[in-house]
Amino acid sequence: MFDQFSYLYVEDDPLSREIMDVVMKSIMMVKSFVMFENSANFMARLEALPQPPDFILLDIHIEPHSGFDLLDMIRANGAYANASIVALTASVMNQEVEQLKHSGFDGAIAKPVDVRVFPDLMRQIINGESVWYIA
Amino acid sequence: MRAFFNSLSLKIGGIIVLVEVIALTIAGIIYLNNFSAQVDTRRESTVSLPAKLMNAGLLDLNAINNADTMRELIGEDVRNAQVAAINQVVFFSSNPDDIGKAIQEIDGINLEAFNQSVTAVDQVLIQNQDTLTYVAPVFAADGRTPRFYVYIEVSNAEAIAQKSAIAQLFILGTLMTVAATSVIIFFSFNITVLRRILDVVGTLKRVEDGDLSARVNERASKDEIGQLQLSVNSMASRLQNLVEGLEERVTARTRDLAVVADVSLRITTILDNAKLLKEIVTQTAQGFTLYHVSIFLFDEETRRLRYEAGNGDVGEILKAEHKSFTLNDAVGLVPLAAQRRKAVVVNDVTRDPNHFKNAHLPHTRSEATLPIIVAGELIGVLDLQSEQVDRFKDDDLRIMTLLAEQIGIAVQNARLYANQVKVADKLQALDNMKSQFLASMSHELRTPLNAILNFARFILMGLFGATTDKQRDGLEKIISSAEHLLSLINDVLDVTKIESGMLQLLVEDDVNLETELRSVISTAESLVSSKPIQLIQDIDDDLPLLVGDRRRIRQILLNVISNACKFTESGTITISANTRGDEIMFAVIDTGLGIAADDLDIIFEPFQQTEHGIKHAGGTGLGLPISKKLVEAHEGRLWVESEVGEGSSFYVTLPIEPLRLLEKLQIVREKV
Repeated sequence: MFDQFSYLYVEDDPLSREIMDVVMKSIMMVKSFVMFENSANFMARLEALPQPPDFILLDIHIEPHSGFDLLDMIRANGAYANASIVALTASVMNQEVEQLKHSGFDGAIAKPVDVRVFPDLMRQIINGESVWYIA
Repeated sequence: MRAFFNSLSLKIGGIIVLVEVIALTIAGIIYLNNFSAQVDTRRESTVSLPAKLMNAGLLDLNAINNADTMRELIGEDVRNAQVAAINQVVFFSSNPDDIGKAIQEIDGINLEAFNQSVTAVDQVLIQNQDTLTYVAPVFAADGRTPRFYVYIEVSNAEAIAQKSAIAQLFILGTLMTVAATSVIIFFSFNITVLRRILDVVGTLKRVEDGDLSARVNERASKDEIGQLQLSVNSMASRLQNLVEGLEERVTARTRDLAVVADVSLRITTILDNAKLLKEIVTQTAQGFTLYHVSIFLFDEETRRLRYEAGNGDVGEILKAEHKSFTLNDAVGLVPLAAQRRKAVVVNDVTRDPNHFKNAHLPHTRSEATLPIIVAGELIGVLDLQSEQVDRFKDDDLRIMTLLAEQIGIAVQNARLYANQVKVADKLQALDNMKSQFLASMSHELRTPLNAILNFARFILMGLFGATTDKQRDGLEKIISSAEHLLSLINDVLDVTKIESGMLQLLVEDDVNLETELRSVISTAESLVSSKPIQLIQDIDDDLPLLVGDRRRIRQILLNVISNACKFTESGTITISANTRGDEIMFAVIDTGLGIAADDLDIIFEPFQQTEHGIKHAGGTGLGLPISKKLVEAHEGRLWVESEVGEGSSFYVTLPIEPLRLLEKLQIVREKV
């Protein structure tokens, strides 16, 4: 079911990218999966994609624009109104989680990602649930 | 009246009167005796007069007949006067009837006297009680041959009356004298002595009652009372001076103490050292009206006394000049006080070579320096300078020493406080470092480990190509070890966080216990799949959503359930979760090994495992202790009931809405 959607993952850690790549393509059988190594020129690169992604997974501590900034940018652009935007965060503080919820993310998943549950989480999101899986 | 009887007047007057009376009485007796004797002597001579005259031929014998003549000659009434011849016949007599009789025949004649005279042919005088009798011969021309005898008898009555009159006169005189002298004594004593003494007494009483200005009215009398007056007045003056002097000193000291108390009060509230010292010197200079007050602080390292604060603008100037003394400087009262560790006073600096003449303080005339010592340690020196000579007396020094002590304490406090602030800052910094460390460590440790696990799993899943059995076997071992390592890291980090009080819960208000339980139980099923154990579930259908940390709640459930799985070989493990009022009661009851009574507490202690536990490797010994803390962080309770061989029952209660957690959540939400 995952293969119906397209995914974008913004992550600066190579290992994490590689892991996500395997999960997406080899486990979830996703066909359309793009990764950005950083958030420079984000909107330009986003718009340059062949398909607007249905799911955008953002590492909160990305540079130069943080996950929050990117969220704002994306939401500002009506073309991506339907995208589910999920934050990937290493923090487990109430403060940040509340911030994430408040900012308008559709969910948050703790880093490092648990690949055993990741597909289930994605399924939940596809089903329209907000997922706040902080480990 | 009593006063009178107690009075000196009476005593002295009494003595004087007594003495007077005695003296006058003695004098009287002597005089009266004398007088009496004189009277008697005179009478004796006058009574013999007629006979003598007759013998001299100057008087006729018949003069005896004439009473008047007799009276004139003798001076008194003659009672009986006779002239008798030698044949003792009366020739002449005061009583005519007696003439011609023998003298023996006459009444009242003292014959004894007559006969004696006749016998002795000489005059005879006999004094009786009533009469004086005189008999004397009248001689013939030859002067030897008696021709007649003259007999004269005079009554003593007159003489007695005379004497008596004189005596009475004398007594009267004595009495009047006594009375007069009494009055004179009384009045003059009163005036010269008593009144003046009473005046002194009155003055002394007034002084006693508190009027130190009372004095006796002095008249320039040099007598003893005059001296008493002078002495009393001089004593009163001295007393007055003394008391006034004392009062002045007390007032001055009280005022000084008030200044010290005021300074102490102010300086105890100042913890900034620079401000403190400036405040001290300013207040001291003001309170004691001193020309210049300064504090030097002792620097242990350089062994110098540095000028730290002084009142007024001069204080700022001198501080800016970095004025300082070494301990051994030859000139200067400041180093001297520090060396001697005792106050040094120079009440006239012009006469003392020790005084350090400061160009900015030209008007100094007296100076006192006091060492400031706290707990035996030299903190500094307090330097006081005055424009007056002799400003620093013993009393002043006492007060100043007190002040120096207070200053020492205040400076010490300020230093301690500064130290404390430093220490507190350091501790805070350390604390921050620690929590930063823990936070980053968590992430830094987990990330590579996760990568290990993920890639191993990928390979095992065949995503990187086919694998041999051996390879798969090896990968499983890698994964299992990495998972174990991960749980170790997590546990150690958890314990560290808990021990440093840095455990933070990620509180959500929609934790679905049922979901979590289901997930945990499915893990348990795989744990007991190889053993003859039946998992029984007794979970309420309508478990409410909890407020809490989802992950931690899952951690607790997993820990308790996996323990049951670990320590049960056969039988049942019953997992129940039921709503009980405002909390959820979660229980795991197994038919496993059970826990010895001694161990019931140990199992909740970190890094301890029971005898049995050690046999079952694969635990960190931290699971239960961490769970307990987590449960308590959720305002719940975790406890166990067990008997060896009978199995164990673990109970967890979790409030559905733990108040504190809710509050925290709300606060965080409000901030956002």
